[in-house]
Amino acid sequence: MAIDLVCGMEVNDYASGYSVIYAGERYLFCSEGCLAEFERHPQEYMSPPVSCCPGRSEEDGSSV
Amino acid sequence: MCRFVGYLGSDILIADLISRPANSLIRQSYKARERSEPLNGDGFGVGWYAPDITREPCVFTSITPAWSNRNFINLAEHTRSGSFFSHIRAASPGMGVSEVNCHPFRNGSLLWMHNGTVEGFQAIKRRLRNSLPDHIYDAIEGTTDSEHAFALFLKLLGEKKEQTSAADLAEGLVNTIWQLEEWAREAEILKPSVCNFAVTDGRAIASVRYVSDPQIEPISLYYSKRGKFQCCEGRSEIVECCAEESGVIIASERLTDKSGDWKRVAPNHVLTVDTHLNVKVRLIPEV
Repeated sequence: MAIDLVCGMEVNDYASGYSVIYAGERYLFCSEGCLAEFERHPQEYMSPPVSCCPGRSEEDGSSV
Repeated sequence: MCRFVGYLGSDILIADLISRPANSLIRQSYKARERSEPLNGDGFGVGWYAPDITREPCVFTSITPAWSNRNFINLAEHTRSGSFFSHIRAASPGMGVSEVNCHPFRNGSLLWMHNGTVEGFQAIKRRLRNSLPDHIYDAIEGTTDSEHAFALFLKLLGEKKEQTSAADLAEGLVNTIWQLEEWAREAEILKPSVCNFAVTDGRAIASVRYVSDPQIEPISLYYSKRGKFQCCEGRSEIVECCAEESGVIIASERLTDKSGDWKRVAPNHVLTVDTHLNVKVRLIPEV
């Protein structure tokens, strides 16, 4: 599984029809909207994800 | 197209989001950064919860611009809450400027606000109104697409209205969008709707960043990292803190200049903030 850089959701490597090659790497997205958003603001999504609380996942609220 | 902020967490002064940050909501009323038209002067509103008094929120609205209303600023400087919505309005053509058309809208314990336009609203308005049960129909006071979308949401939420979870609110938002899109297709409305909706019951928030055509960039919508929002000597930031002092903000525009404090809500996704301030983002499935 890959991670959609825009929304943080898991994306099935084989099923996703939304992908882009950026800086030599292939990135997968869950939807047309996320792919378009990445193409509009690629630099914003290439930076490390922001975590507000160390050891805690912002997306799912679970401890990691 | 309006701007809004919503907050859930430990009690803070409403002014901490409304008037104190570098890009406060009041500043956005005359100089929004992420709209081509920077003016949002057709009124404003704030709704906040005081759960030790009642579950129903207090709402204050006015048709004056937010920047010139000293009562708004004074109220925000003297009111603390752990859950509030605030909205500044740029009225769509044909939607009158009146207090009943100012957001947030209230029904029971719920608050609702909208940034965007339900395209072709007049063409589906009668159908929408005819679909409503009497008690929701009779609660409509204004004329906006936003309040009618709220009425539709209430109908689709059904009996869950009295005991909602973040997931219930999110499901209601998705169902509302699906229904509006179905009616738009049947009315042959070709222009896309832009629907950044937000709803809260004071204990959870759900919000969507949505546009009918995924190739079009939707209106901006952000959520903050979990933390404590503080403003000191003109500098505002979100700092790490213990869970008891934390909060999460949703906002049409980033309130601070530190981009690391904020994350965009992905297009056509629904965001939820639950009672424990857990943030979830998931795709709105296509019908």
